[in-house]
Amino acid sequence: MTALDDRPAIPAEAPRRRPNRVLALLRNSWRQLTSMRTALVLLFLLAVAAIPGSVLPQRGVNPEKVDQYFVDHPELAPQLDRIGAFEVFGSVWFSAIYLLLFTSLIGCIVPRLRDHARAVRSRPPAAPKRLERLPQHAVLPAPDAAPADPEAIAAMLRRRRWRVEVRGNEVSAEKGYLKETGNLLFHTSLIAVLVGVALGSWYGWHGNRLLVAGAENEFCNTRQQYSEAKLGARVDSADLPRFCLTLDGFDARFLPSGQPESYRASVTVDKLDGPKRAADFSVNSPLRLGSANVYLLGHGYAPILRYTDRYGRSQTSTVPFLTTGDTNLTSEGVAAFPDANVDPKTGQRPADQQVAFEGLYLPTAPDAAPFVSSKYPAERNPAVVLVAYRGNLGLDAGIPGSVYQLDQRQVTNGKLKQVGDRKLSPGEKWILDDGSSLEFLGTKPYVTLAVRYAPGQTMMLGACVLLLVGLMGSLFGRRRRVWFRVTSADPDGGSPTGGSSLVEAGGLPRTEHPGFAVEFAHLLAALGGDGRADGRAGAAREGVE
Amino acid sequence: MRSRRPIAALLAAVTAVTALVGCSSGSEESRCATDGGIISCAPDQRSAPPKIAGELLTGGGYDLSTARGQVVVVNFWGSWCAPCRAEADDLEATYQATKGSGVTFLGINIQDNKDKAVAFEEGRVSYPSLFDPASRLALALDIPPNTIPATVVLDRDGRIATVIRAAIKQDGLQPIVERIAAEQPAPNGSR
Repeated sequence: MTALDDRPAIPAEAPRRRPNRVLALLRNSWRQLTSMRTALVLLFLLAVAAIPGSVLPQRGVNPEKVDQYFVDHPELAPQLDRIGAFEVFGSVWFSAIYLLLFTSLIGCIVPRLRDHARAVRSRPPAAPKRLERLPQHAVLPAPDAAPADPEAIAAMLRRRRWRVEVRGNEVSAEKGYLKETGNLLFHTSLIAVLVGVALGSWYGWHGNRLLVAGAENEFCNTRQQYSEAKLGARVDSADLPRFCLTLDGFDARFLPSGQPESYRASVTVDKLDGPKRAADFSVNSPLRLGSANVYLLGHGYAPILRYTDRYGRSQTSTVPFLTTGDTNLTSEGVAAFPDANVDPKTGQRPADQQVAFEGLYLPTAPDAAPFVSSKYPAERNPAVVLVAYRGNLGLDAGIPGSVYQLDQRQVTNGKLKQVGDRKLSPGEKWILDDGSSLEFLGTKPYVTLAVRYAPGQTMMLGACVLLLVGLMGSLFGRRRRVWFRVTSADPDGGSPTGGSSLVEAGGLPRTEHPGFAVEFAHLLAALGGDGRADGRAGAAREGVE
Repeated sequence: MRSRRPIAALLAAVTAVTALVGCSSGSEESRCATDGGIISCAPDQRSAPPKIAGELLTGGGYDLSTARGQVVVVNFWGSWCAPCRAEADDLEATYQATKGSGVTFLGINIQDNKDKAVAFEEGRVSYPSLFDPASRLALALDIPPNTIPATVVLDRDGRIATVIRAAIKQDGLQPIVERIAAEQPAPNGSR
């Protein structure tokens, strides 16, 4: 930067004689950076740097697995964390590699774009004096019927989509700009892909939410409502679009084997600035709200449990039980009642009288014990299998924990004790030893959602398509030139109109092109020659045939 | 001389990136000072008062605009949230200590079952709470609370003065409330 600021102070002719060292260094570094070799090395580095991102758990994708990794590798994990191995794609070194690659690419393709634009505009060059020195060469007498006129040859070439220039008795033609066009399109698309990625990470955001059916379980799109959310670097939490979602119903169909056949969630969308509207969406067709897409990730059941404490006071709780990964939707969860058994006369809250029920929900319970796993994912014989706990749940200590499991430390240290277990079907009531009771009232469905805004996505799709098109062009395009010279057959320079004339042709592939000899022969054939190159030069030199 | 062009291109790219980065920093939050998770807005930087009204946990409606003239401490909480449970006593103690100087408290209960929320409140806190499971009221705040628990202090004009995106104790909250209460005299006839 300082070097650039200094620039006006340098006399105009000075750089040539006394080169500014800083400028020279900058210039050389720039040349190094924009060289193909550097670009390839950077690309390779990018691939290598992405390996830890796929081998190690990543915070952005799965924070729980990262925590687990810390537990499993207490020595190694902090070291890895220091170098950003759990946030590889946001780390300084990863960003450095792709920014350098980005710069290198731009530095490489801008001059090439300029050169190519010039090449496309320029006319095919004049024929070399000695066409016989070219890889392809032929001399053929122009038969009476065939065109010996340069304009006719030019017309023939134009029909074959050659770029043609006629200079007197010479015809120059060039073809295959597609190769460089494709190559540049490929590289430009690559930059567009990177810009798309950058847009996504700057202006994109996403949040995950478990949503239980029913108006009282509605959620609005604010950071507070997400169990897990990530906002792009340029997104302020106040910028999130304002809408609220209510799950009205969820329809899941299963095959007799238990395999899911279709899921459909019905929601009410309230954008707060107009009437509410109903919408349906499913796994592969997300709910598109314009400002965000809502994807359906999974579903499960939330048992409705009513606990009536020893003083006769009831609390009803709808608790989502999380699926355990089994296809029949065996789920586990905990219903905690930390404010139960408060003496209505004294207002006393005995710390050892909190109650919780932990266990399983089975949408289709087996007919006989053991009741440990569901037999089918739909609710054919629903049951909860619960263990009752009484004591101090440990919630009031203020340590944040999962709401889906009990604080096991309280169980281990004896402050939370088991006081029985039971299987309950809907409508059944369980009376505990202290006279309190638990009723299983039924279930509500829940869905797990990912709310996502990915602004670079369309751009990346378009860029990827163009990238492939460009790659095809660059792989299969071949630049080549041909020249034709029409001369009088009489070497003494007799009357050109009287005798027949000769057409001399030469061809030059600019890049490796095994099929050029054949193409050259076709051109000659089109001119009325026999299509065979002459003995001295031609196909033999190409190594074909 | 040829090498100048790439440098100029790089310079242009850097300028463009800087412009992009610079252009979206117009949020309300960025105008306020952030220190240790506590966002404090100077009196001349505060935006218009948010509209906060709804249904109380114990039944009946409540509109915060009826408390204009009071400093209002708005606490977002849930009975399932361990840090919220731990800070409830501190909030109540701060309420008792400051309510004489024209300060009122309001809870906003989110993502909760109503029965459990009511059972938590009884005998613990003496100020009312709105039942807002979906966080609709949070949408009205220019500086969103984002976390649970979160505490927002509104000045006597109802504007956001401080946002605390963490659990807080009495010794942290009370000085903030007293400072904001001292900005303007309490209205006559306040408790």
